Amino acid sequence: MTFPVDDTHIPLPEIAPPDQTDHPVLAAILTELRDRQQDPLVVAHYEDAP
Amino acid sequence: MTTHPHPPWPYALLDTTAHRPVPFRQFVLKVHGRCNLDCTYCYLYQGPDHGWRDRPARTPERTMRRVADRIAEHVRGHRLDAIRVELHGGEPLLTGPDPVLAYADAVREAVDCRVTATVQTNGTRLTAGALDRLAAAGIRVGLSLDGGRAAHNARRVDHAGRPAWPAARAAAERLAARPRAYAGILCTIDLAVDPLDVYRSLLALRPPGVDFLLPHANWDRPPPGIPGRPPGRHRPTPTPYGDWLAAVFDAWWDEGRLSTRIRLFQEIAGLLLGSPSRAEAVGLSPMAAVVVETDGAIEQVDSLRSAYEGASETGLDVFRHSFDQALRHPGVAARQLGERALAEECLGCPVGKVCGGGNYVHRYAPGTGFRHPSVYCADLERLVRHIAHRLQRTSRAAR
Repeated sequence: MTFPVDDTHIPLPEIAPPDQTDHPVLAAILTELRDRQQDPLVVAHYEDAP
Repeated sequence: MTTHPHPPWPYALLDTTAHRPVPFRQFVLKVHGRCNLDCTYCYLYQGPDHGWRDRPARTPERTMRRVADRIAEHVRGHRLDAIRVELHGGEPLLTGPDPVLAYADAVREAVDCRVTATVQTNGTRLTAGALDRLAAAGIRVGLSLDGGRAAHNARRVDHAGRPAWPAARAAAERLAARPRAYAGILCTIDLAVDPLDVYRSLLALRPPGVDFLLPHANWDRPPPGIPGRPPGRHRPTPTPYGDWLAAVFDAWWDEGRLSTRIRLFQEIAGLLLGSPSRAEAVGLSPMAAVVVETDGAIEQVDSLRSAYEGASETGLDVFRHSFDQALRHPGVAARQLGERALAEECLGCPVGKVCGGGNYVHRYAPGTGFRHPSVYCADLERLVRHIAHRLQRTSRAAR
């Protein structure tokens, strides 16, 4: 169990999507995000459905 | 039916007249209002809301047709080109696949758009014949499991205390042999079990996707492992759920191949890369889901029932009201406001735009309502920062 130091004021890093990657999980995420760009509006779905 | 007054936020304080609603795109349709299991942690049947007792056990065909017509009206009115239909319960396969097939057919016949239909089941009634018929009808199947071994599923028992696992495992094996019909697995986190054991045992069931769900809890009913306190952004504090999820994230991220999608992790990574979320658990995207009960009542999502009795109710039903009227309900509108629905602590938090305040359900506190940080606030920050760190390192290496 982690007792974090109080770093909660530190901003999150700004991470730009890489143009390409050999990392298989990141590659899958980038593909999904490119598909998502086609949606005029991204909406949230109920989590109790896969 | 409500016996508990709604809290001030959003019900008394939110003015919805200027709200520009986002149409529903996900219709959660209750097929059965009862379940053959009696899981010890179930928010629906073990929680504070017993409204299910007053509703029909099964949705009548007349109600199905009326629901289908209302969905068609909504699709036409908003020129939607695709919707999702989730056949839910209770246990939707309680009496076999016929009611599920009938409901999906009714919707597909009524609407003029693409329909993705999924049934979410505990798996105990998913016989080979039932799966054949669902697959033939183009209905995908999602399983609810707490892990891939008997010990992980010890809390999932029937009303006589018998374990659901043997039948659920058989269902998982059938689905693994039918990947086109396999929607994935939903797994509620149990801190008592080892995260890597759960993750690897689920992988062995070969699901195309997994989502890990935080147990439904709030500031009045904190989850196991988190002490009761007033609502707020408490730091420093233990983060058992964040730690559990971070361990699974590392195993998933470092595997060397994508064995399965994990929705929560993918959505957080996507948010960190600047994309909006498709999940209610994180992010600020407008919620586009609505529930129809077995009696035709239009409701907010079931998980709200973990807060207080009547929390999901809108007072509307498909016989007298349209889904557009439901979009004006304060509880529905509050979930489409993005940052404007967040607590002050969240607005000033550097993680707030990624976690989005967490699942709306987990923000509830009696007497005030849903404008608080999540009871999982510290756990979410722990997980988001962990994923940000891993993602930043991987992204740098990719350049």
